Amino acid sequence: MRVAVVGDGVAAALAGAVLARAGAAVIRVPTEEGGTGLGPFGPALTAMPDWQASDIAAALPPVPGASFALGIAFAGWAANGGGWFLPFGDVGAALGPISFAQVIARMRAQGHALRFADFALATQAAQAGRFAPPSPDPRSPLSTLAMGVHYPAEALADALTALAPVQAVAPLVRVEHSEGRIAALVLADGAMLVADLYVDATGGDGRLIGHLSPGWESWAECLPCARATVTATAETQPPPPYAFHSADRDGWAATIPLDGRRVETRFSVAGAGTPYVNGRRTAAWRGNCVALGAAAGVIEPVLGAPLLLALRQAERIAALLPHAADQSAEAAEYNRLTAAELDRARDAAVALWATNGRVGEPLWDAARDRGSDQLRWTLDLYRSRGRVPLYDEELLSRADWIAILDGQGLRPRRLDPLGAAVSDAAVTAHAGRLRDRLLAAVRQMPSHADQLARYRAAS
Amino acid sequence: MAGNIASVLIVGGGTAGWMVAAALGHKLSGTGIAVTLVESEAIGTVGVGEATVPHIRAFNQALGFDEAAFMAATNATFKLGIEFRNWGRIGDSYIHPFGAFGQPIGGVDFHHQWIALRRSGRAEPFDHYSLPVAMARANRFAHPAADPASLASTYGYAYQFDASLYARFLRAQAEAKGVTRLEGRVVDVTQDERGHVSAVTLDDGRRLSADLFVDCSGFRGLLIEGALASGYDEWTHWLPCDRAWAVPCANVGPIGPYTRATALHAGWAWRIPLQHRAGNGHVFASGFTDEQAALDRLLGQLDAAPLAEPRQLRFTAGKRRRQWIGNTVAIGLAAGFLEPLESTSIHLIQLGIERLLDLFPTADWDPLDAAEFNRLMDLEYERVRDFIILHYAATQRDDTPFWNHVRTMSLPDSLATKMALWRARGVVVNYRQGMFLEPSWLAVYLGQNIVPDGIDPRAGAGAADAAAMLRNIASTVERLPTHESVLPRTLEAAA
Ligand SMILES: Cc1cc2nc3c(=O)[nH]c(=O)nc-3n(C[C@H](O)[C@H](O)[C@H](O)COP(=O)(O)OP(=O)(O)OC[C@H]3O[C@@H](n4cnc5c(N)ncnc54)[C@H](O)[C@@H]3O)c2cc1C
Repeated sequence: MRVAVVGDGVAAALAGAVLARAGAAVIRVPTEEGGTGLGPFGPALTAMPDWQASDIAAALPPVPGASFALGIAFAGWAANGGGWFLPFGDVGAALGPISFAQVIARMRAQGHALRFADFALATQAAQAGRFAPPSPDPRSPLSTLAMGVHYPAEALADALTALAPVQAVAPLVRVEHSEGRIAALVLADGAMLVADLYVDATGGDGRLIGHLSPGWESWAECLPCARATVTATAETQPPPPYAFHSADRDGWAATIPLDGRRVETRFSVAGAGTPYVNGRRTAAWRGNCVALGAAAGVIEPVLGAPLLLALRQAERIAALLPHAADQSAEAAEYNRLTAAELDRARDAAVALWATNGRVGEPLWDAARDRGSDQLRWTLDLYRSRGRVPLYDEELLSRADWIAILDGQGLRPRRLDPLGAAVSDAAVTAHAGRLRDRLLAAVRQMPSHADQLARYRAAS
Repeated sequence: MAGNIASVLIVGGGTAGWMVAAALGHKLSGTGIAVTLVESEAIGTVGVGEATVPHIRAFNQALGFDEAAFMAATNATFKLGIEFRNWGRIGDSYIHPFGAFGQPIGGVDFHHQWIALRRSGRAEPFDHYSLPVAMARANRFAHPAADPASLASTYGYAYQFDASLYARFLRAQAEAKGVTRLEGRVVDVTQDERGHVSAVTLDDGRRLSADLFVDCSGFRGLLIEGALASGYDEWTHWLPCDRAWAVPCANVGPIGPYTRATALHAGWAWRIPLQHRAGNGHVFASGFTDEQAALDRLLGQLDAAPLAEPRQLRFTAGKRRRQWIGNTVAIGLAAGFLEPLESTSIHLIQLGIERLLDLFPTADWDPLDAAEFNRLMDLEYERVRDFIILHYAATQRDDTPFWNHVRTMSLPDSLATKMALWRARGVVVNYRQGMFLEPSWLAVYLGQNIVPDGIDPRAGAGAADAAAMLRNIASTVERLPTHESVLPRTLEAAA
């Protein structure tokens, strides 16, 4: 099984590593265009905690310049400039029949001002600039953590490339295709490369898949930004263990704290910057060519999805590695799952825009309450009774959704009737106990700077 | 903020009614919401639901039931899976276990490796690579081990029990939690101007009003259909069986920790071993065989003489269009029916209860609660339906008009896509929602000889590992006690 992986950045390195480890003979074809293959969003990537659970992440050595992530801090998205934190890991604990979100709702009904996410160890540790890896011991409070990572894209690509043997060839100059299939790749040295499967990891242009499957579904109506501008600044201070995503009148900006460097990406509707269109390819696998990363779908990284999505796509290709020229069954399944997963990731990103509190600003007023039927259903149910439906291929957990919607200031209209069996006093005592336990645990955690120094020494 | 409702009336006291009563009694205790159940001894229950799936343990545990007490009270046996006889071809037998098959070899899922081994003639039948299957065939049972590294932790189990005894057991639990039981036949249902049910009238003239009504009245759907005219989605094209004969007989030989489903001329027969007898029945399609012939086929294949007069039951595969309308929620046979081939009815009751508790209504009757309940239950019913249809669609039998029909019928798109992907390359389509996971689909596909055309290109070198798995299974089974020796039985003195 010969697989040509085309592209220069993390997306191609990731696909190459995953497919080579699955037993394919991988040939990496550069395009000399640079970029990550995950969208023109800059040289820093947030790996959400699920990344960490993969075989690939387990095999990676420490990556120079990486830093740890306990969550993402948001500012300017909710009304009154209110900031909030999306923690990685568990939030609070249920009390008998009532969920922790209900504990919060009950406390609020009693007049206490508190936030759901404040009851995550990750939130408290992030505030204190502390970090520890999750503990496998379920009795330890550290077991409630889930770890994310901020990666410098190039160093991550190098580390991934070193993971598995792949053959490198001269850069791509032309794609030969006929009858809905790639016939060959013409390389800079004149060679014709023929493979059983062509993986397009070239980014939003889709230099291979664009010939076979040009259809693109745009999400500009709900995710209006279309220009990205990147600035990197050297940093001597120890980085905070979280990225910072702040909204303003004209768009939003992501600040990702790498070890030694701070990368800021601004996302705006118009003006200078690299253009992109949030959306996805209508069919990401057609004929003998499959797209992953931004070639399959572009979602600006407001919830850090691109790297995780590319991993899922690479793993999916590995599980569906074709064994015959007719790849239509594989393509159908890949397209079904990839589209559903991208749509769910889109809805999570759109949720921030749909629930924004920037009243009186045209960009934000236009985006409010937009979104798919599924997203509307999620928001309606949450507003009604604090319930979050999880759909097939959902990327976020229920706690993630609640932290986001709670942070944005959505408040359920009703309490859970089953909670009536638990007294207000018991609810208050439970919340107090949880807070004490969290604070005690944070005090025991080492600083993020110390943990990073140790990681750096190992890399 | 919306206040709580004050009262719930459950109409019907079959398995569904008493499961709802026990769960609501438990979960609503302390909330001040009163729960009442009305049933009619004159009408009686279906009461043949005897085989279950592992999820029922979560239900029993959530309600705080002691396993031994529950098993003794219901004459229950342990269940490790279902044996399917004659489904792929006449003479075939496979077990669909509550557990996985083999372990991945070299990072590649076991079934891909098995398919490659089979091509080179080095594989035993697929279900030999499952510990619970080997346990079932050897009539052994032990609770799964706690150590996740142990092979003996890799299966689940369910129960086979006397459904009317389970209802009685649940009734005692519910009444202890303050649920009130009333005897009486509902003869009339009154609705208010919103279309909500306001009261039911009994044959003796009593009127029972409540805020929330749970319709557990069985096939007739007294409230959901009788009063509220929900409508019914019929699935008879794919599931033509519409009747059953049921009859108990004595156990012969060791009590097996598994249910058996034997394909017959125009349907199939179940055998469910309990402690004191075996439940038997024949589900058949009246369009393909007559009743008497069906009864003869059932009686002809019993292990022993019948212990009671055979009973006939009639049904239509499908589900109510809306299971929750206004202030009425249908659960159990009132909500829908799928033939008991995979023992799913009691599980669907349980799911209905869990969702009702998750979406328990408040006095403002926000219609979103009903809409979300219906969305989730529709999804669940359709996914169970597809899995049951698979057993018929995956047959090679062409010996009778019934099997010819099901072998060649058009399939729901959702199932046709799944089967196409399996046939092409051995990939099982998975969803977040839906009770049957990959191992279940593998069991039926490979048990019924639907082997993919293509081999996963990563598979190939697993012969030694696969052989080691078989040895490990054999030596584990040898150390386990017999099923009969571990059954918690009724104490004669206490009975
Ligand atoms: C042939 C067959 C085999 C089955 N095998 C299995 C199996 O192996 N596993 C499994 O999980 N499920 C099985 N089932 C399904 C299972 O039997 C039912 O899901 C279960 O018994 C629940 O039934 P129910 O309580 O909804 O209805 P029923 O048992 O019909 O109970 C209805 C109740 O409503 C009451 N009622 C009705 N009308 C009135 C009225 N007018 N006034 C007052 N009360 C009224 C009745 O008195 C009764 O109490 C099987 C079903 C059939 C038909």
